[in-house]
Amino acid sequence: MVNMLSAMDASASATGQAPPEPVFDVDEIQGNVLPGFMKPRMAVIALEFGDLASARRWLGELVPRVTTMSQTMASRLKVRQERLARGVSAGSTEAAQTLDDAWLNVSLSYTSIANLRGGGDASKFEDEAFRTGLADRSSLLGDPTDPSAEGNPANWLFGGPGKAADALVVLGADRQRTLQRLFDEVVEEALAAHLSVLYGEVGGKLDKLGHEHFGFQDGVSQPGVRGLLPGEPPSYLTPRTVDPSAVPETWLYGLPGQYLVWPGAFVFGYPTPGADPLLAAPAAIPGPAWAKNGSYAVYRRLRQDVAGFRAFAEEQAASLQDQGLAGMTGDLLQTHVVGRWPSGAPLSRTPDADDPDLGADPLCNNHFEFAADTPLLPLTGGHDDPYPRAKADPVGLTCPLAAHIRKVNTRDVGNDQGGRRASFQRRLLRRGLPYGPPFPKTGPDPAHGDRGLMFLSYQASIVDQFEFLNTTWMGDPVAPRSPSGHDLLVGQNGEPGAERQRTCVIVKPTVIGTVVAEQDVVIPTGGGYFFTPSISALRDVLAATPASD
Amino acid sequence: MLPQFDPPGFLSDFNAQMLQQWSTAVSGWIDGNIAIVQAELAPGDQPQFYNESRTETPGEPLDQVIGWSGFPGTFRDRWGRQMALDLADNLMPLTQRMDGPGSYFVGELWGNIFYRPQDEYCEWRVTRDDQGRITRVTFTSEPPEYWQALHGDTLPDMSGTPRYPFAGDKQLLLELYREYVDPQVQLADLECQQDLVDHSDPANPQVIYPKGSYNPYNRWNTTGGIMHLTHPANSLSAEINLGALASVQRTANGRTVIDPEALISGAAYGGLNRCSDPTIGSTVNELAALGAFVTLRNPVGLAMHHLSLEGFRTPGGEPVDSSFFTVLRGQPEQGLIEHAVFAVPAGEGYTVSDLTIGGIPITHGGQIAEHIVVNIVGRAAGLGHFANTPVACAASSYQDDWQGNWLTYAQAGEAPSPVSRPAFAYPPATPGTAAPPVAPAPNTVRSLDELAARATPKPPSLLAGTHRHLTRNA
Repeated sequence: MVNMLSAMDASASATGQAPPEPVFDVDEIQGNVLPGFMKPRMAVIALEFGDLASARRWLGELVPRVTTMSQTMASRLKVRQERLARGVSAGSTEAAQTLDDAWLNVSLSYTSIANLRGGGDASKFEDEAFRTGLADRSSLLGDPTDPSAEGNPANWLFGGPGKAADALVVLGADRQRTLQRLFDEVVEEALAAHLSVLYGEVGGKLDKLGHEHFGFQDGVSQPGVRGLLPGEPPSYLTPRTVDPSAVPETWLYGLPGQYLVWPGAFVFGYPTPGADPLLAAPAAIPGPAWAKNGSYAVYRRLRQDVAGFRAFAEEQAASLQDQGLAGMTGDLLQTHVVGRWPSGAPLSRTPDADDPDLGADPLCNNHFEFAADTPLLPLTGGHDDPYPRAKADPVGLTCPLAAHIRKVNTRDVGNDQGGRRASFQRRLLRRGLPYGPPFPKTGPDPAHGDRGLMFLSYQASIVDQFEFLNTTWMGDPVAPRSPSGHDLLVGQNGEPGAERQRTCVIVKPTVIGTVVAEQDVVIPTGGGYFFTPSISALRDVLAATPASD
Repeated sequence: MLPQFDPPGFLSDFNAQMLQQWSTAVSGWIDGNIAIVQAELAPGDQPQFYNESRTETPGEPLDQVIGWSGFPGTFRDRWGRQMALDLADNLMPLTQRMDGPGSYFVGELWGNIFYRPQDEYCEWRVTRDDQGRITRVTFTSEPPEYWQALHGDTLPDMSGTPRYPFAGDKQLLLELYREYVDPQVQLADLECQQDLVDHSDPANPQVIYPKGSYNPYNRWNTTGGIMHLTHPANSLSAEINLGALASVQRTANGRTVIDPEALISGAAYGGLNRCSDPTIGSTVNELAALGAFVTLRNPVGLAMHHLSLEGFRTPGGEPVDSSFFTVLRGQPEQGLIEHAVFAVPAGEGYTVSDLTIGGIPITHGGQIAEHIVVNIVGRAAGLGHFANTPVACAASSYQDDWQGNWLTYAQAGEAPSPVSRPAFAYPPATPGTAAPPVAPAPNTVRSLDELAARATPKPPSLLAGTHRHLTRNA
């Protein structure tokens, strides 16, 4: 039995105390869901079942190798200790030097769960996207509907018609050799169990900081997940860094600017976000009872056209200059499209030039809001924030409303769904890493353009989180706020008749410039919707022969 | 300065005289709200909400489209999506509210007068064939005041006193209803056949709509068709009031209120759980916080900005294009759609029910409304002109324990329900008084199963009554 601290009993904000948080069942939750592998190397293997008996046997044999939250946290604590010993600051993205972990998680599609359960209770999964599958939801995400287009499911490497994966195995490791060894073992065992390998990909960080192929640090803004790790006393999963004298900010943030989100937004069976971010809503299990401690996984293989992105930026920067935005360059436009400089430094805090120190400082690089001037917060541990503060920017005069970071996280401002609650209820736990070699600075491209992101996210609702962000915000010309336009980084325009053209506006005090993107530079080339069950659900429910068989 | 206010969506039915009368009414509502704001402000402070036809502002104005989902957040947050879809397609009697207990009007006759409970300034009506298949879904964002004006009624000022007379054109009113709703419409069908009297205060009954005046809840706009908005909160004057009240900076316990939900909770300028009101209010408030003059851009009114057809597919798997969504009134190129119909083009041989969105068949009109963005435009000018003293919040809200997304206004400072907690009630902003994060107390430990059992949403008692009174909107 898992103990939880009820968030129902206290109105923490009114009593002047931090809200009580639930204790995680750390031996049940798979480790890439929480706290996330966060390893420099990553691989994905998509599998199709043969006969069900073999599939169940394969799954049962795999369960002891599935890395738990507990195991992942133990390793992370070692990293923290090593960093402390080496004098590297807390939250540094630098990998630990002594680790050689190789981790494994597994997720299953709706169809495979229904088959493994003999029909049974799979239909209790309430998420219609999960039940329908990614290929049939593809056009809703804005993917090309032209069957000849690269991004159409018909042309995906896997996940399209007739190529849907039953299982997705995700690997994370510190070292390439160890990762490859585990990858080969998993493939070998799957083949031996009469499974087919539809797709396999090995990737990893391009550098220590974690830049993606377009050249920007990725994953800077992850939601902070509320909840406690068991122990005497229990400790927060997400460290708190704002001094307790700053109320309510000390209760709202992990790292400054990192909103704390009730874990039910990501994992079944835990308190979910309410309208007031400090008041949890009841825990929910929107699926069969055994889905407790599970989470939906979305995998998208996204090819990034680096040359295309840069050419677009140069061409449109020239156009913006013609429209009166003097000083606009290709690099600066890229920064406006992202909302951050390549280092990860937010445009809101440093509007005129990149600041690599700010970009690399996790205590400061996410500390900005939009509705009003962002206050300086007292930090624990004697840390300070020496960088310029973000000014109020509700209209997007500094960071455009169409910038990717504003399209997917509206922070403290209202949006088309109402108030701020979306900033807690629409978030994703992003676990993806790049695949393919970096784009060459000179000479021929060894990858022939095939590089991109192994996008992987975990959430409690595919409809309300992953799909919402793609369809309702990134792909819409007005939402979540305007004057904006489409998200020109990742967003797609699947509107019939629009020919996939995307537009946005760059608003400055005296000029409004229009940016037009004629071609997609992020193209889906595979993927699927999955569920990542708890350890006991894998072992006792899904790998077991159902009574009806 | 603006020469005169135009009708919503630049609708073109008014003659020159009525256009002037409309402008006078809108200007009067704005002025009335400026007076309301003035009464709230500290002595010496001036309202930032302004009348574009009377006030010259410095510099070029800055416009901000404020958009929101056409599907009611009130339904979604109260009952979850599936039940919300079921409920939202239906009519409700005016004696029942969907945002909590109580009644819009009191009196036996109101129990037989219906409205569409869709409260995002976007209402729709589902038309089905004999087999129950959806053949069309008609959407409107037109305010009732426009149609009262066409009838030649006198519209009230912000105090409720009849003040703005209209010449009207009853023949045109009838022609429009016959064109957009049904050729059988008769003028008498559109008018009140008796005084519609509200008995909320038994000692002082109020005539809401006098005999012979235009009846916004007439059968061709409710049980038999759709012409304009019917939800009592979906009025133009309510929208102006919201914009005006939101221009005031507010504090709670010594802190400036920024959080959109906390702001609407403290200012009480609209529906707490709507998609529209919290974002309209907070967006206006953010502009006002920059010290700007703020207002709602001409034409003052609500409109649908667009319908996104991404993911809509025909039975043959082809994308559904714009030929399925016909804009009948308004200016779609400006994001000012006032009246539109979603239907399968003639001759295709299938119905709306045969279409899918993301692979899911369309069974409710609300599935389409989920893909509509409704909007108004906020306008700011003269940034830095004002430095008004913030006003302390007078209202507050509670969060429901069962449905954590559900907020309810406190009643005289008291909890609206025993299963609710004060929301956004942070301790006073006195440095050093906050307690540090606390370790969980043993007596707060509960089992997951117990919590999960408690978590199962229980439809409130209101719902049981709701079902009794639902009227199929087709």
